[in-house]
Amino acid sequence: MNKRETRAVDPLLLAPILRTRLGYWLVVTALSAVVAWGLYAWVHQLREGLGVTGMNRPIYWGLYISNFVFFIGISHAGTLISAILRVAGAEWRRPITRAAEAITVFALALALTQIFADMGRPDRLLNLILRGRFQSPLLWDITSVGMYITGSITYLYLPLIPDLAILRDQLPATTPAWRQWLYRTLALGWHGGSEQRRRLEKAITIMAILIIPLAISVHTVVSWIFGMTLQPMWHSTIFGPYFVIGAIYSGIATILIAMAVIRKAFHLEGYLKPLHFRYLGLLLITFNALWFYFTFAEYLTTGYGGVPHEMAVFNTKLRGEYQIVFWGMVAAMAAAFVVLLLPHLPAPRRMRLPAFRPRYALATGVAALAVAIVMFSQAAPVTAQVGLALTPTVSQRLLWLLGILLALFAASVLPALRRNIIAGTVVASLLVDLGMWLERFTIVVPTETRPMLLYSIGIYRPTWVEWSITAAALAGFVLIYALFVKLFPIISIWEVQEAPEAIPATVERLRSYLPETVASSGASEGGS
Amino acid sequence: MESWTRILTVPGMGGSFMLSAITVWVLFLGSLVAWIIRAPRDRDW
Repeated sequence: MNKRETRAVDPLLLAPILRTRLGYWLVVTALSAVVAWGLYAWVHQLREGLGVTGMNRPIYWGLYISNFVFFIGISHAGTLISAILRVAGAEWRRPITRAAEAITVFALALALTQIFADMGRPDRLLNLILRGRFQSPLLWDITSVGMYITGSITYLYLPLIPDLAILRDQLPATTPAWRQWLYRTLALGWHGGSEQRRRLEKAITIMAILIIPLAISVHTVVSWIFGMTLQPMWHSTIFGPYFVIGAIYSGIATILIAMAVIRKAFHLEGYLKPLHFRYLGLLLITFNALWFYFTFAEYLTTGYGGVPHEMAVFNTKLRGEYQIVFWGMVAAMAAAFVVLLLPHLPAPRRMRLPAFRPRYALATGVAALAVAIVMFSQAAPVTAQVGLALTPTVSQRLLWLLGILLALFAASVLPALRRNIIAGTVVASLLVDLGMWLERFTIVVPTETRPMLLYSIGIYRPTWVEWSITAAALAGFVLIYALFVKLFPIISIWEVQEAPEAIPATVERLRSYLPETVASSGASEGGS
Repeated sequence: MESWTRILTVPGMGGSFMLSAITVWVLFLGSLVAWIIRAPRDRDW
């Protein structure tokens, strides 16, 4: 950075890099343990073969591919949201772009690990290069993802360069030598001259424009892996946009969760304000509505058509063995919609029902969780073996009980979420991410259980290996993110520092929207 | 298939296309970074 323009950096922004608390190490250790367990499961799978998973004929894709699609979706968060906000000149983007862009890179990396896990023989990935054909959507996918991950790394790196120079120049001499080397190397001799800054900003704009179609292509091509087959409920023309909508939707939710955690953990309340949560929350509501629209359109068209092959899959989702997953997805999305919308509705008359107290929330929440665990345990083969299987009547009654408990729980927590916009958006985001994962599973697996070819009906029960690798992928994502926050400023220092310079231009732009007479009268009032 | 579309079905052609596309893209990204880094310093400083 140019010495003339060196400004004092808010210590709060450097604090995560300079100081590490015990809690951080505990979290990192716990996440590492989960990742290590997942690696053990993967080695076990490599040694024993894919037979240790629940995948079988005709179900060749299970949790791994569901995770892959989910993570690719999450990856849209960052780059796309950041790029759109940059191109649109949304000033409120400044504190959130870095946190968003990092999500993209790490989610993509984790998505690729799921492909390796799914392959059983990862060395065969080379066949894609040696024998790949143009007609294969898998080839389109790897091409698209390859360009997207390299583009996203660059898009994360470019705005990071001035901050790396700040770290290089301003960190205390007591900083470990390897860190000084890291920042010195990655800063690439940045001097922050006016021409260099002009070029950087131009390059960021070019990347922001290029990355938008690239991001859209990635998830479109992922959907075509399914869409280009003739399998029931995969062969759909709306799959491209449906996947892109879902991707941006789950991406925004993930940014919101990351922002809330960073804000709380590093006391960045002054940077990540309720306003940011409100704006992104509004975007989340929009995508929630779009998601419902696409889902409704897709299922209505299939159900109305009544083609036998399609109906076999349709029925297994809506009232067959995957009904819990399907309706769980719908319930999660509907609940997210209610939570997001509440703060924007007019306040109701004050109600003081006993159910609105925290202890009721705790009691009903724990009870609902217990019932849910009992119900889900019925799916495990061991439950029947040890004679704990419930009769259908009892199961039915438990489902009703679960519904009532969840309704009571919702009634007791919604007023609190209505008052606190950050808590509300985070809860909604967790529901959205859960719902989107269930959606990916609902798309990937049920179709394979009722394929077009003359197979018998498939049954898929994921094994501990698959659940372990899934947990490790999730933990790995959080772990890499946590390490990134420790090494690099998670809020773009230089972009926030430059924000005040943008105020006159923004005011001027607002004036330009208005007729001359109105704009000039506003100026005189503002000046008086 | 005797038309030009035959090239689409040749094993390995798609792989070559993929590698070429990614290589060209990465070269573009690298040149973008190099263009920024090689910018001259301000003269008055």
